[in-house]
Amino acid sequence: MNPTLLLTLVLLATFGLVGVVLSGLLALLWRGGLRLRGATSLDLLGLRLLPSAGSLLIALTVALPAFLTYEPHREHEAAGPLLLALAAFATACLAHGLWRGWWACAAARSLLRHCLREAQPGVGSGAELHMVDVAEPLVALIGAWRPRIVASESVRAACNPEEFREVLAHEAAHCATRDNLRLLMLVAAPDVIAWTRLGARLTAGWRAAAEREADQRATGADPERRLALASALIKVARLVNRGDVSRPALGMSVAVDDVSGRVRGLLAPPARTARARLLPLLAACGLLLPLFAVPCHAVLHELLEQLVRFGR
Amino acid sequence: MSSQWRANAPQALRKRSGLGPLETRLLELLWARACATTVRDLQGACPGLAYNTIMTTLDRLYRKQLLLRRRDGRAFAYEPRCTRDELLSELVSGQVSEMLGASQRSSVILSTLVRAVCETDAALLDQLDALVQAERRKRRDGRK
Repeated sequence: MNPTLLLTLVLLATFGLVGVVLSGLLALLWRGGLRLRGATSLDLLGLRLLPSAGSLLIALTVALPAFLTYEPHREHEAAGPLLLALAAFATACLAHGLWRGWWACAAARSLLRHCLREAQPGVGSGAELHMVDVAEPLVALIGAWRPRIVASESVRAACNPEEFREVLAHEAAHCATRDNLRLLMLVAAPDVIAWTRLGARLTAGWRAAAEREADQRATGADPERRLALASALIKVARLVNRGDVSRPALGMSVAVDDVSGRVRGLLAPPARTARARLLPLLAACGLLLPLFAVPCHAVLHELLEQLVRFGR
Repeated sequence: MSSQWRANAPQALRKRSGLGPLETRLLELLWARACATTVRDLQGACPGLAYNTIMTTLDRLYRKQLLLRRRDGRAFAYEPRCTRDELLSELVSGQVSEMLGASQRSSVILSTLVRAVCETDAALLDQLDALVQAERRKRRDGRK
């Protein structure tokens, strides 16, 4: 087999195998009671991306140098069935992740196109604002690369100017932290977690944390602004709940208990901003791992050789 | 409704609603008249069209719930169910609603202010509203 093709297969197989191991580890930790109550959105993002980012890191910074250093370049070697199966599995994970990401972007683009065809430009804060005259009580930041705030006239009519300003500030806070781009990463993460309920739970947890943090960033410690946003949240929730809206258009996984938690949070005195603890730890591990793996390259290469030969 | 939309209303309506050119034309005529109109009346405004063609098209629009009709002697008199702007708004709402519905089934890249709220949550919203009002009163009283 062509050495370049063999190297590609080895990298793919490593990506797939490490991805499964890390996903299994994450699932075990979750089952063992890891709930990360009060975790920041960055922590949850790091946890959710751990299998795919970790396996990519190990494939490129550990397996690749080990293989390039110790593999005899002139040797043509045949790949065994396990290597081929793992490489095929990794390719399927990558392709499905890309498909999910592409689909999510295409759906957002389509929604934005529908809204913008009808929209009137408005004065927003931070991101482009477009007002649409639709029955649905829509207030959303749409799009990953160039997100726009789209709000329906029904929401503006329901809120007073101060409340509406806070609503826009909330969406602008999402925009400032590029939450939609982070959401795209979560949606497109190429791992087996994406096919399980744990993936959906982590994404829902991230969404809830991102909403709470956007509330905090939008209003700061100003009690009047916090009160205005709390009031706006209730008003928009009532609009979504109203019977004359044809279907629950904004229905997603975060339910009214989330609104309840957010309103109570806004009414309480502002808490100190929580700092991400898990993500820096994971990032440090990711940076140190390639260095610590250098002395093990020979052993790792031997393991990769076993993988290539297995079942041949 | 944007001004561009108003200028191209028949085209926009056709594009949005999936109505045929004849359906759009008759609908525009009915909107222009602003009162119940029979097939015979419309035939005068569309000289090239057969009576049966207009009747069938109006019946189709009635079945699509775009027209209301009542008996006028032996014939039916038709009138639009809503104004052009209302219809366009309904169409846009429907499309946006469909797109957002699709976002439930998969993850569209959007962050919405508030998501699912079911009927039974109305009481909880009342409670939260009471909390907000109480906090407002407290602040007002504190300032006095």
